[in-house]
Amino acid sequence: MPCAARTLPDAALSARIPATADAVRVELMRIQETFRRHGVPEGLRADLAIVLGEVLNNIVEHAIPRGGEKWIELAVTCAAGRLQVETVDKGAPLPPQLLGGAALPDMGDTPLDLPEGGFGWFIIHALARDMTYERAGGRNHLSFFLQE
Amino acid sequence: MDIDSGVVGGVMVLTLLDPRIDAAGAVAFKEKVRAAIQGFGGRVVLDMERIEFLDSSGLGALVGVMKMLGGGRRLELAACGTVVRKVLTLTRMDSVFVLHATSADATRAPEALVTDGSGQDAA
Repeated sequence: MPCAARTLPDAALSARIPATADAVRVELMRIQETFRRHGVPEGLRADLAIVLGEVLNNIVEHAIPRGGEKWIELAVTCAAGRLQVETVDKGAPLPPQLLGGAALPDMGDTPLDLPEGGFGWFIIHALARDMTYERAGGRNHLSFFLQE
Repeated sequence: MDIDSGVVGGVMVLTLLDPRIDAAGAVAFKEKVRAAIQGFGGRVVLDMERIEFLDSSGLGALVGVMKMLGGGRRLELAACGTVVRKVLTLTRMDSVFVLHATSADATRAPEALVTDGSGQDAA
């Protein structure tokens, strides 16, 4: 089973970080190291870093600049063979159309037309399962899980 | 991002020395590479062996670097690890860059590999 070898305890991790790209980088590295020590398989850890990086950087780049307090809370729980992820922030609400799914950006006709952005939500939806979003009390609450 | 650069057999190999191309460093990374390849007209290979993490901002920076090559050359990436490969595959950008198993493979690869337009490495 993924998540951790059966002999290892389940792991949980939570943090409240400043909403900056630098703080996101530091937190992702800390999470990788923690779950590596807990025996979470490399593939699942890679998915976690990829998805959580996109989610957190989206909050930093889009939700926070449009108002709100400059922090993000996150929790990752490793249990029953899956990684459950939750984030909370007080930035602007998430545009609802992003929740249903996302297409790859238009690749254009030549290399010079290739997109340099717009990949983030496509990557998130490709890997995250059971994504739910709630806006309550001026907070965004996003949750999903990852599984091998 | 610290970068070592060298030209091997007419191919510029840029060895990326830090482990991440991410939102926190994507702009600085792009500018470092821009300075390194300025005025160079040959093939450009990024040795990605030390890169442990690439996010969508980093991917955008790689696309930006390829555009610096002017449209006639594709950016070549060598020794991509687990996360890099996954991000490239998910976004289908693995068919846009030319991928090599190692930078040594890249410098041995014939020029034809980068001008056939397929973006695929025969290796």
